[in-house]
Amino acid sequence: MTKSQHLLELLIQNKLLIKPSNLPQHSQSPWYIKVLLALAGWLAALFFFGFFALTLVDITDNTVVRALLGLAMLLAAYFILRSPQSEFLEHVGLAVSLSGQALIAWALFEFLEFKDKEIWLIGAAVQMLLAWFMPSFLHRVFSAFIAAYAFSVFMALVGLAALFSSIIMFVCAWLWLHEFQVKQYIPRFRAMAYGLTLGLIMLKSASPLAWLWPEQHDANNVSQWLDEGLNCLILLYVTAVLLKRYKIAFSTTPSIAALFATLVIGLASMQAPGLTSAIMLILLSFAASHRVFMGLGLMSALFYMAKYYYSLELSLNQKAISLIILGLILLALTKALALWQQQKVAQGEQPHA
Amino acid sequence: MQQREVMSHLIEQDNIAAQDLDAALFISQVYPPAKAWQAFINKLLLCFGALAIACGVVFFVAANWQDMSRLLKFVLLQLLVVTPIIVYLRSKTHTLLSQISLTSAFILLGALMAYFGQTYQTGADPWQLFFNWALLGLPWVIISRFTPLWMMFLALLNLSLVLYHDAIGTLLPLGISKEESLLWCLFSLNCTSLIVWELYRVKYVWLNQSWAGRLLAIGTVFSANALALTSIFSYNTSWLGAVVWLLLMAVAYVVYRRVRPDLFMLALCCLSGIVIIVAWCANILGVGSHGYLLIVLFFLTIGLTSAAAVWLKKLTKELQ
Repeated sequence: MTKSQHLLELLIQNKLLIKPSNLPQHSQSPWYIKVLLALAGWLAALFFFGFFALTLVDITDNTVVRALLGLAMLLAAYFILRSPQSEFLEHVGLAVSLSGQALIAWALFEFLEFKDKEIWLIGAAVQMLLAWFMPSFLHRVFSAFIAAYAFSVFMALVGLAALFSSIIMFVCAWLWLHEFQVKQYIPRFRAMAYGLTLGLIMLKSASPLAWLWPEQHDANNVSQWLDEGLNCLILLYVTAVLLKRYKIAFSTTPSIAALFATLVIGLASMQAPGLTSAIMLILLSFAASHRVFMGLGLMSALFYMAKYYYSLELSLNQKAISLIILGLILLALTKALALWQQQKVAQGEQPHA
Repeated sequence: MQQREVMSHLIEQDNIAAQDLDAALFISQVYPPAKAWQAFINKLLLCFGALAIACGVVFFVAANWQDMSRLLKFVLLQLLVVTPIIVYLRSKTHTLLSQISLTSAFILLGALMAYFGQTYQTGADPWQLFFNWALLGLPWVIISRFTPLWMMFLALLNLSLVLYHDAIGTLLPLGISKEESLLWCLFSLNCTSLIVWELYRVKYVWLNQSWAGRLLAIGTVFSANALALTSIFSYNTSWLGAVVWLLLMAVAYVVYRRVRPDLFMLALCCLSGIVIIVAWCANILGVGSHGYLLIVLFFLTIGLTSAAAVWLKKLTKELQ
């Protein structure tokens, strides 16, 4: 009996299945096959876009024609992606859509400046719509990722740079925490959660937004603390939801200890931007047994640690001291947890998470 | 099929009542049991705590703090290297604590060596620092039986090779260019490591972690790809790079399709194949001067990717 069949048996024994059910006929492709398809789709889109830009230069020279052509390509991509599953058509659809979006963006940037707020807000909204309606997992991931970026630029341009990472982080946390509650929308929400997670990891490194900072340098310095503070609150929210999931009342000692430890870790890692969001990703991935997501969280934590080395806001000594303090706090918590577990075992109790 | 996938399918099909969702997810262990959380949090705190302290010390050395005398700094750094070794000696062998202790000692050894070079102005190139660091730390790497530490060791060797070529020049004879020499060295190092990993991962259970093999395979295929691309686009280089790439693909097919089926490795080879074939066609067609030929590359990429996807999905089913 396979693991999946055993699981079905278990659910039947516990009377958790409403109606008799079979295992899915087609299993989903592993993540690396999806990455292969995404990379190749992106490469194909580059060739397609290059073909339009170089060969049909007379047609694409006109901004309106370019925008209309882009829209037509988006529409065509929708119908291609909606057609019965075919690997070839799915890739054509993805490449046509990406090229269409590039043509529309090219047309829009001729009317508006790079630093016009409206264009980024419209971009974010359109990408979220595409993420919702385009019937392709890869397309949804891509659109959600671009939406996160466009939204962040918009927030930075309206002077709310401190809020964007927290908003994206909160939406990410909510989507992963309620991943199974959305029923028939699971694939759609999951793809969007992936896109936003990738967006969050990229945005917390701040480099993709570096072109915005020279004019808003002061605002950026002030907002970093607010940003990390809000990130810390979201980490607390994730811990609270997980405690609720395990039916551990907030007034109990384990619950208070978990929330306190989260707060301490969140506050201690505030100086290294991104570390709080990486910790959140690691917690969420473990909470849903999601190994790929765990890899993403761990890689991003290592990346932010390395990135912290090059941060110019603090001297290397300050950074060294803050990291050593964080390390000592974490090791002290390890020791405290081990002692608490030993005590519980000695008392013959079953320790909670 | 993963439990997550089965549960997603059942929930999507409305086969589980909303009020029973959590119970079903706990039974399926998609939501891990409370005990698993304890072990996980313990591991996480220990790994991140040790890593943060080790990185903090590296930052401290880089800061070259003037307020502290050199002697005091040396004493402090040496104490910091010795402390995790004492923890290692006091802990049970091959436990996470002992492995993390050795990893911390290995990182801190690098900080000590960097400070030594900084203080005595040894005039050593950075590649020597990383190479000697890897060499001196090797005994700890061997006794640790810890895959992440082995990967760190190999990363240092890779970095040494890059820095050597950057500072000194070509490492290989026969008038091979600096860039090509670097690619050959990286390929040899990563390919040898991958072969050793494949040969011993069954014998040594601690080595059998798929992510390590995947990292080594990425390093190997990346350098082989770069060699093949150099052969395609540069007239000054030999065709040997392309031949080695072809050989690598053939061996990878036999090993990962027939002997030890591994979808990740095959997907990686497919991606490598798509890049090389498209690059080769672009070179033959002379796309640089005929923009309209990009549409040929577009259809070629889509065709190759679709074929790869169909083949890999068929294999996924076959291997389940």
